Amino acid sequence: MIRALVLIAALLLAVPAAAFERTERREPCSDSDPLRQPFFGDTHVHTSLSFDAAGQGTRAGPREAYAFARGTPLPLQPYDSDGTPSEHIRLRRPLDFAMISDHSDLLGETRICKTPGMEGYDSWVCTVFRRWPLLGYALINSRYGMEHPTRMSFCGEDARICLDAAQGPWQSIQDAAEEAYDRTSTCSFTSFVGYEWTGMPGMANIHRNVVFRNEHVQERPTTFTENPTAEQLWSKLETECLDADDGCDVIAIPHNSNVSKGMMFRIENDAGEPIDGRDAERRAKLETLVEVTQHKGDSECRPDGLSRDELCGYEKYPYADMAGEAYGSTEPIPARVHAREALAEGLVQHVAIGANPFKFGLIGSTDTHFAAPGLVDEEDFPGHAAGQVSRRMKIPALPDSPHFNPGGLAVLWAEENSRDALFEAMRRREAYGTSGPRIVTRFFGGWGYPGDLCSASDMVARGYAGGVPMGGDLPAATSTEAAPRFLVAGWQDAGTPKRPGTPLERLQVVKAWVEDGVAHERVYDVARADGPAGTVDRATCAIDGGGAPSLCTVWEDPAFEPDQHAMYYVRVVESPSCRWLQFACNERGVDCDDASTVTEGLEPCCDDEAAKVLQERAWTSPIWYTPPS
Amino acid sequence: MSRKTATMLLWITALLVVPAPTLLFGAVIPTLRIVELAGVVLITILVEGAHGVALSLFLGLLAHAALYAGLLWVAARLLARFLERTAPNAFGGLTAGVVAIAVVGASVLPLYDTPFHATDPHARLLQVYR
Repeated sequence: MIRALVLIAALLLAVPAAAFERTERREPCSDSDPLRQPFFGDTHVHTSLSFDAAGQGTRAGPREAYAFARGTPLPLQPYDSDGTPSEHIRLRRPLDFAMISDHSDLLGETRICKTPGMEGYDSWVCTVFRRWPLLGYALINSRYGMEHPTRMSFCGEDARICLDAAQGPWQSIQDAAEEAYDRTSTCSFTSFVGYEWTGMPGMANIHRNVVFRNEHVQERPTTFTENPTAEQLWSKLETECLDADDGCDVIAIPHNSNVSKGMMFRIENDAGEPIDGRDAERRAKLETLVEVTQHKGDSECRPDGLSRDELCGYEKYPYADMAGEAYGSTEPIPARVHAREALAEGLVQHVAIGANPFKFGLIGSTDTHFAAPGLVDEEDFPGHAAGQVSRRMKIPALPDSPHFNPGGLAVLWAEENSRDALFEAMRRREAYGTSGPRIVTRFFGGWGYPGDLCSASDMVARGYAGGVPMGGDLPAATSTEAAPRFLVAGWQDAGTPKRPGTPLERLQVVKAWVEDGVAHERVYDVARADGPAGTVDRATCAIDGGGAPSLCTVWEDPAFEPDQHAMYYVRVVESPSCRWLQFACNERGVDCDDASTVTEGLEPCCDDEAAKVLQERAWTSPIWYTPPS
Repeated sequence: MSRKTATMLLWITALLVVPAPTLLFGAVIPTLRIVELAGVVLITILVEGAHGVALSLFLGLLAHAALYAGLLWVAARLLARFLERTAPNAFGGLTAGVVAIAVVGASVLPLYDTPFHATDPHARLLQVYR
């Protein structure tokens, strides 16, 4: 009896210290776990309410997008004259959560141009948009990609006509989110209200997805046109949400820093002065996550970075900005556009100004413009439908430019599948991203984890009890001699009976630290699958079974210096598998030894520069170490 | 029919039907369609100002139209001369026949790639101008 009581007490002490706060009226979830569960979702989804998606023929709106996320088939353009779609798509596995993130800019213009009778419908620009949508896309989108964009003339003085028109779709987004949200104890699906602030000064991508915690949201979504810097966005989020005292809570998630021309992770403020500690804390509070992978490429690390990381060549978009491919730009990719560079710079800033502006976790998402959240399977990639390169006005020879990919998923460790639980996971950065597969990974940091923790039945409970999960700060060291120890575990995507997941090749810990004011980084292989490495047969895309279903280790930093700021995150790497391009080329019967099979548009199938095989992966949020002051 | 008239007729037909590849958007469309699009962009510039890529788009389309118009004029002249020499007595009828075949052929065959349209590629002549 006493042993049982002791055991119960130990387990109670082992659960995460603070459960989430409930800010909304709903039933508690019947499936709740104090040790948290991984929930898979997509926070970057465009529908027909987005100007560029509508201009590419997307007809599905937020309701259809949420239905798709829950497993309902979705029609895909192009449509014939009778309105019959070219095909239907469907997720193999529904998502746990999603957020529709239509562009706040042009939300009103898109509605006006599509709605007969609205003021501005008969304007010349709307006529161009309807009659020549691709031309309209180029003309209008590039106008909003200027340093100081201006509204179309039909928006009237102060843009009032377009801003008022945006209220309709903004309400539709909220209504669709409410309808899709399962408030019963089943907790089958969670939706978030949100939007994308689409900052694109000089075609540099400084986009942010804004995520609201609950149904209390801004009256109007903030637009880049009226608020053209990230600081102005943050001010709006503070005054119209965080300070509103009505239950509104919000974070912003930057994405595609890879095409930001170095403007995503700036260390100067709007006035051009170096940021100070207050600026850094403000940013870190609002931007707790970064979307590290999505359709337009990976933003984790640069192949020629400090560590010469051999796996950084993954899904690299080879242009400095969003228009690079369309216009054949050869501009070099500048510094500090990748998450790892920013995470390291954050440590440098912490030393210099006393706070870390880049204290963010990592997630993935799709950025679909088909209204198809979570459509990440390499095998069934239908393309993306955004931008001039990736349009889908007709069925293309290949689904997309070989530089693009299906995008990834966001994974949140939360007690239950509800808005409050998931939002708090985002806020505390207990989150990770995957390149698509449903890899599961745990990452804890502490000072006293035993070497055999992986084999313990209460491994997770002890992980929480003895340290912090991904996204956290290492607690103070237990002694001056100690080095931090990390519990690192990964499980392969279980897949489906018809399509099992790919085994894991290895677990890596990526460390960045500051020494004499300079950032350094190093990648450690901390666990590898036994036996020969996995391989894939490109002709059939069959994998040979190399790799392991799971890997786990307790790793101690061998180069720890207690007076150096540091951060650690985990990369879980699968064995090689076919990339979408190889699947598409196989399906189209391409044989590179037979020129007759390489018909127009299929040339990338036989271009050695275009990747055909990849190693899917997951990236955890970091754990930070701050020396005692 | 004079050779000058035949040349003009063949040239206009060529502007109307000959698919011309463009460096913009990967379109393959008749030259008159390129002129039409340049006009659309020009009106947009006049209405909204030369923001974003508008001016470069207009100049690009104009350059394409000028290039193809010139090339097609030379081709029309050569073709008219060839037809006149081949069948001087049936020159008019032959020219009309070429025009008819070109128009009918372009109306039946999917010669064009027009990513500018809202719903489908519109690959035949009438669809291009619809």
